[in-house]
Amino acid sequence: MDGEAAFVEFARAVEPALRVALVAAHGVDRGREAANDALVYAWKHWDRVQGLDNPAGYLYRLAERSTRQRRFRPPAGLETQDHRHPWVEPRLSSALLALSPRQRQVVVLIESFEWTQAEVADFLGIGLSSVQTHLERGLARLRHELRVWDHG
Amino acid sequence: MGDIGREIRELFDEVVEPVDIRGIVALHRRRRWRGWQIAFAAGVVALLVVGGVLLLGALDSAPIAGPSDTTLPEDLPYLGLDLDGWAVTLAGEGAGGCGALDEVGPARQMSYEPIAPIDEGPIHINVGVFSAATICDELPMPDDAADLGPPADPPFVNDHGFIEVMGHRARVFDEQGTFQVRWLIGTAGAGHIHIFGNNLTAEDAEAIAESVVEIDYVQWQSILALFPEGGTTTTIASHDSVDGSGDLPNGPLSSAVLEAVDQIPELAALTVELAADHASLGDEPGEWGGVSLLAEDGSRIEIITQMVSENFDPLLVIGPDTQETGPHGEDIFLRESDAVFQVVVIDQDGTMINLIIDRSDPSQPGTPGALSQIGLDEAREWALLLLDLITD
Repeated sequence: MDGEAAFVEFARAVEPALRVALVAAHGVDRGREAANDALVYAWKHWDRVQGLDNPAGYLYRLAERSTRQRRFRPPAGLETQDHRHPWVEPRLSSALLALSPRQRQVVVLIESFEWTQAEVADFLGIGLSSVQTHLERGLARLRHELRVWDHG
Repeated sequence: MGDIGREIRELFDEVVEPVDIRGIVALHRRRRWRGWQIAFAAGVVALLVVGGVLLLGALDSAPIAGPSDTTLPEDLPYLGLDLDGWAVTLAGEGAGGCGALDEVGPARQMSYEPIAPIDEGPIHINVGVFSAATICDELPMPDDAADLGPPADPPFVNDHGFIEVMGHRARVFDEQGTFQVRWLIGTAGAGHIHIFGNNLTAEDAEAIAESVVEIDYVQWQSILALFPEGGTTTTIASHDSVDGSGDLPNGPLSSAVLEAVDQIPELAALTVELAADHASLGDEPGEWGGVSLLAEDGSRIEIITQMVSENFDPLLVIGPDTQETGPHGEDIFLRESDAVFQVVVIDQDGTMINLIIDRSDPSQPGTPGALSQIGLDEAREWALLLLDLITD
């Protein structure tokens, strides 16, 4: 497999995770831009990136750095003016915003994209116990925000 | 959560278009090493190697200060000493702070020793960058010691308003009757200089101390720069408790930290040695509080929280090492050395978490301790999680 084909295969596999995790943390615009930048970097430096132990995690951390800005900025949203989707639970976006960015990442990747906790820990570069804590607290907050109580 | 999970996925799938991977390949050029680049790089490396060998050869012929010595810095006029014939050694890391409760943070130290005995006998001076979160009486004061007290006039308050003197000096005689002088110069959290000498004459000691207090902001930064892994720690001390009693009040800040610690299994498993709130010193008025957690071998994790202003200078609590940005725009500062990991996280609202982890066994400095298996990534994640829990 030549370099381009190998990169495209890799990028297609890792892109959804990058995009979702970064959008969950930084909002649509900045998150998608960061995911794009990370993949551009991966292509430019493919010889090195493909040899890494955890290239997806590396690109995620790279993308996080690219979103660096000064603190005290307003929080990023999941919606933009041009993108509103009335067919989903109308409070969903605001409920997600009530979560911390890390809780949002973990909840979305596990509950919506069916990742395992181990996969999320590896990708985000955090411990399993941290993933568990973020998930439990994120789900509790989400249920509270949506007034969806698990009676099971 | 099944339905909600599905709806979240639909939201993400619809709102966030996938990145155009083919577009990236088409628009951007892949960087590859070409033959001439490799040859050029190899040539540069070869030149560096040859130059290094020649340089080492030249240094071999120079006077050698001592077997474990580094090159004597030329930018240490603040010591006010004629350092010809002296060796300077990076003495490694020792306990920082003052008093049993406070000896929790490693501090970088430099040691100045005469190459050969001089007339007055051996003189040993340590200059360390310690925590200056508190300034306290570092030595048990014998009855016959003369406490000179703080300088009458703060000898340096620079234009930056960064350094302020919280100095304390004392003449102390040790158990053998040997005169020592200790001079502590506090800055607003960035550390303090601690000098002591053995068998010094009072005049010599005073001369050294007086010269040291003449340092200014730039020189102070140059001192910090001599400690490449950063040299500041923050300690929890009993001397400036909120109520002034010297007790250790477990106030709202340390209580919040304790509650957060309980949510993290690895931290909850440790013994809580100390939990206290304090009045803040330095240029960040207010209160700070935290906990000290004890592992089985006595090594510690300190977790401190404080509200800081937008203009807060992180150099007050951590050396100028690595800076990152957290998932929600938090400023993250990392310090890593053989003896300590330190993570400082400041969120957008100005809540700060300062996490310090001992990595070496306190009973055998330099050897890995019970907490040495904790990685910097894990420490960073804990700090972010603690901040999340405290501000939740």
